[in-house]
Amino acid sequence: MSYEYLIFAPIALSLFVYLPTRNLGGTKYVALALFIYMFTQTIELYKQLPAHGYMSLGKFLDVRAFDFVLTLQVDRLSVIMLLLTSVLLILVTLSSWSLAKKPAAYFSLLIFFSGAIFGVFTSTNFLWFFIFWELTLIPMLFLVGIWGAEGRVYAAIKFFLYTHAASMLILLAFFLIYKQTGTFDMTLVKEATLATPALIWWLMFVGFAVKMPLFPFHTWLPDAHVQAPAPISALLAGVLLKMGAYAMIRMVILLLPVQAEKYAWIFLVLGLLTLFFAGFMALYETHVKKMVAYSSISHMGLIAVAMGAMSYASLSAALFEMIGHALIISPLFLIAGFLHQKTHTWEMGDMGGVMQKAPYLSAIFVLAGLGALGLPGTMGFIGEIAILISAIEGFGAWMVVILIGSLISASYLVWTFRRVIYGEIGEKVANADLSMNKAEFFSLLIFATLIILFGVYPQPLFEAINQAFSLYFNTGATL
Amino acid sequence: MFEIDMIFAFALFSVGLYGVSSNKDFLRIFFSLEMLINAVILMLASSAHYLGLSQNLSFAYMVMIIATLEAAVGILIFAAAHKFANVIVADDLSEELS
Amino acid sequence: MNVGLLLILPFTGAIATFIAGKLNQKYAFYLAELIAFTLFGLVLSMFVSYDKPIDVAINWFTFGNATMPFGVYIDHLSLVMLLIATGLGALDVHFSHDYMKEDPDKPRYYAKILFFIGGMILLVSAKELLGLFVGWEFMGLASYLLISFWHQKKAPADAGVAAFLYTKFGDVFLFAALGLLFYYTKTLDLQEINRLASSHQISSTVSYVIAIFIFIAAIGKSGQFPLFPWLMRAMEGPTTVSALIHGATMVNSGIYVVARMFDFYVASEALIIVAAVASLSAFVGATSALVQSEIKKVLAYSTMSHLSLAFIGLGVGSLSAGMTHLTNHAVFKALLFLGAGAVIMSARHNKDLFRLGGAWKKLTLVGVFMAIGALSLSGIPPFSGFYSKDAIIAESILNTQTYGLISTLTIIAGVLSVAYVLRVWLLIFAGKPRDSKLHESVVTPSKFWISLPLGVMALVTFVLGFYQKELSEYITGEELREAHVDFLPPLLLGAIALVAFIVYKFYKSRPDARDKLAAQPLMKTFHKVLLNGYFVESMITWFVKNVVLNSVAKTVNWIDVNIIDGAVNGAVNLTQRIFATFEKTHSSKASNQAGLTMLGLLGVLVLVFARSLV
Repeated sequence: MSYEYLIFAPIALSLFVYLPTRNLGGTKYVALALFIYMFTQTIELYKQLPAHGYMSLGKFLDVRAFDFVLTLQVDRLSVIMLLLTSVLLILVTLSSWSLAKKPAAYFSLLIFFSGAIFGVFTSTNFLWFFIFWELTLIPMLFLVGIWGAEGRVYAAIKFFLYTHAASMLILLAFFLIYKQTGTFDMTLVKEATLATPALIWWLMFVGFAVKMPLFPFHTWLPDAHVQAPAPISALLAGVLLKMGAYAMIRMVILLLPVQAEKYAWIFLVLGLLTLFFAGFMALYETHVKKMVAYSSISHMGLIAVAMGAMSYASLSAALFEMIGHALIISPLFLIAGFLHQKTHTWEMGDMGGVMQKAPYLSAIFVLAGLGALGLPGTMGFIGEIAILISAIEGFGAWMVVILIGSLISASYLVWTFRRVIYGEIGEKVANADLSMNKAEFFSLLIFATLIILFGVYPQPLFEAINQAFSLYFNTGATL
Repeated sequence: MFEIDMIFAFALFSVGLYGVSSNKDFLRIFFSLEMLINAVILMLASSAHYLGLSQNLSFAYMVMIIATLEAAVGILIFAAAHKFANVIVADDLSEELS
Repeated sequence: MNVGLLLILPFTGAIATFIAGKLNQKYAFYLAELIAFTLFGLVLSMFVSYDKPIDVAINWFTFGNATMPFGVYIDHLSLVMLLIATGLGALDVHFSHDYMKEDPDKPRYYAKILFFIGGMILLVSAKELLGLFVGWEFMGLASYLLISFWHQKKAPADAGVAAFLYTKFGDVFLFAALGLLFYYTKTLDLQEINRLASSHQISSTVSYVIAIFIFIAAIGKSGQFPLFPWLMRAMEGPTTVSALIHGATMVNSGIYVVARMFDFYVASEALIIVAAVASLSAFVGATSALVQSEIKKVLAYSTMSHLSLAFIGLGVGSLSAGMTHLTNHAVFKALLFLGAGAVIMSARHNKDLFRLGGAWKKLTLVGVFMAIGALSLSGIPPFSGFYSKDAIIAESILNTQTYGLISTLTIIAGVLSVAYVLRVWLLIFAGKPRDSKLHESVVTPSKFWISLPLGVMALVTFVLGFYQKELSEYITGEELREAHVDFLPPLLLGAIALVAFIVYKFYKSRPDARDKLAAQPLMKTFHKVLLNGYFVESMITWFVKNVVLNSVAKTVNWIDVNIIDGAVNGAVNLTQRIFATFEKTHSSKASNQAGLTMLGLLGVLVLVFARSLV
């Protein structure tokens, strides 16, 4: 099986899916089937990967004139990201099952998006990486701008322009690399041959920091997440942010290790600032989805700190937390969006007593929230303890201050439980019909199961992650 | 010589940039956009000729083709929007759509 | 294997109980009772067949080249804690049959109780600090869920949040200690850490800091000063929950962790801090218990005070005194709590002491058993409470560092126990009923479901009194060094008798003298301070609300909205303004436009022909 069709087929197919199903209906079934197929293929790909090393998916469009070769290559890191993406795509499709407005366009855009994101994770040519990177923005622009809430146009345009501007910095960095090494091929670039590695490093860092997002480049995220429809918020948080983190790891840390080591402190500084700043923002918020958005940002800050330590253990911890974050934040977004849809209010003060009307939904919300605050038994705890230990190893004993972030998370999350789930029934909740579509509830169940499963038995996931990074670190490195 | 072409191209580019940012008419913005693209094509062609970067010539052809296609699609969209809402100003269109 | 079953059964049992209960509410109870007694049976069999510590090392996960362990280690200390947890747990479930009879949410209740017991088992069986931390957090979660069990009402929901956050504050310190220990000693194995500490292989500042951190976590979990307000708020939960979690098991985890790492604490010389903070807590708890008007609040403060006594026992260097007091306290406190539960249940869930009274006639058995519990708590021989209290006070006097303020506070707290518990007993059982309508509706509780567990606990607290020496030797594994201050027992008993006499006078025979004393303004202030737990909760709430929330969070929010996002919006505004000025340069006059066009054409021609000229 030639796996490159995982990228080309969705992009091409999206139009051909849209046109007939626009009138016939049933796009969501096609999308679901396609995503399940992509998931199974990704598992096949994972099985075929050698334990340490790459697997080339092929070279296409070998235009000799300039280095525009579409080289696709995967290693364990890419495949883990592909697996996460395909799982999330399936779950997001299930969560959009009851969408009424223009479903054909919606699911076709999702299909297009899937191809583009698969391209991001597999291309090893800078130019093509950039093309796929920008391609993912286009469906997101429309998905947020058309199906979003009241302020969606502002949010979509802000999201698009902000991240696009950051991409310009990235493009500049890529062109500088091309000028200094004569190639766009990632696998051929060696840091030593670059004339201005520091400039390139900083350009790429700022560009990817906007995507992750890191303080102070995070302000596009609350608006985008709040206005986006709930499944798209889940996709944004689960996949797009991870795109930034993946790029950060690949290009900033693994490609330019010497520079990365020199400037590792910026990860620490911005990571800590993000962790605390976003934590306090979430504490002050009374808008339920904004609170979840800030919680999401603060977790990415934690991941940034782990990235900054740049050791075998810390990058493994960061990757695990990335996966955990995607699985934990998505149900929170989905349920917050669902509550808004049914009660027509965002304010936590107006809600209350949701547990009494929708006990199982509330249980999943509480579970995901407990994951976000890092309770043992959930993936969040594993990520937190791994990051704590590797951060202390990397930066010193004073790193225990990141646990203050954990305390802040606990405060706003438990307070959210109190205001939304527990307590007396709010008026808006009492009048609302909180029955959820079966498919949507099923996707929430899967999230909950995965959160607990990997929280209790994380070793299988860690084995894949460890193998992903052992390629880059001599395992003689001490922790 | 190459320097003259470069100055010309930059002049063209700045006029085009000014046009894109200062006009309210959809059609005039399009016109200025074409000017921007032409400036780029000029740079590519002259660098191919004077600096011996032969691949830039093929790049210039590619840009020309794509620009033509893009202009065609854009004009079509604008015509449809005009028919739909009788607008010629960009801001009005976004308000009509939302 | 027994150990595996012991660890897995509570959790799978919790899920099974919930599912079974959804089919039929009765099944929830029977399954929970079966599982609880099975767990106790397992522990009992482990106790009887004990040979040497059960030591199983398992790896949980590996990231990079760091491996996190999750092993099991059960020795005498663990077994004592396990016996307490599963034994009291089983009795508590049995008692719940009647106590929770009318509640529609039984499956959820029993599932959470089993989950809690599982967490406690995990805590005391853990080989490494990581497993201990997991059990610690599980219990915190169970406590939160059970305190806010009646979440539909405001007070329990708020109390749950308070409990979770107060203990979370401490938990963060335990987590930090875990990270630091792994960094400095490369191991999380508790026995190994103790060994390293005793042989002085850990730097003294590091071990001191870590010991303090762990103690802060213990303060949070065991409701010591200043993190005790959650314990009082926790009384909003069902009384069976208060008995099990907040009287007998979870709150003991703070003492357990210090006891488990006792060698570490001795080596790091942090025990004096433990003793100091604990003595203050003991005083605060005992004095606050004197004036409370709710039965459960008195018992909550009493718990705080007695846990402090156990901490003092550890703090003065006597593992045996601390742990024996913990064991004794667990039994008689659970007894008192469940007895109070029986009273509350019979009085239609009325908790106000001043509305009860004269319950002796209808609640005789309960009264008898509560009297036994009260005697044990007061420290009257031959009940178990006497021996451990005496040992703690004696040790605190003998220890040169703590002789003085700390031992005085300890003695006051120890003696005051009789005051508050006698007050409670008299207000509930003695005299004439204060609210006759309420008294009429009191129902005598069932003997099998309610009085039997109480009787079992009363018997245990009595019998345990004869086995104190064996108990302390079992726990510490060494021969008990009989600490005796010769004049102490008679002096203590004399003080107790005097206080009892005063209380009796105030509450039974001459309440008018009490009222006259209470009317004095100084007394009124004292009363207010004590009633509100020295206003610690108000201060903490004030701090959190005004400093953290309204100052820090608010400022951060302002910065984000106005400065950071403001920069983004500002950039957009700037661009729009620039474009607007550009727009203004367009002239509508046709002649201007023609002129500019001509100029442009001229420029183009110049540039085009410049090429051929050069």
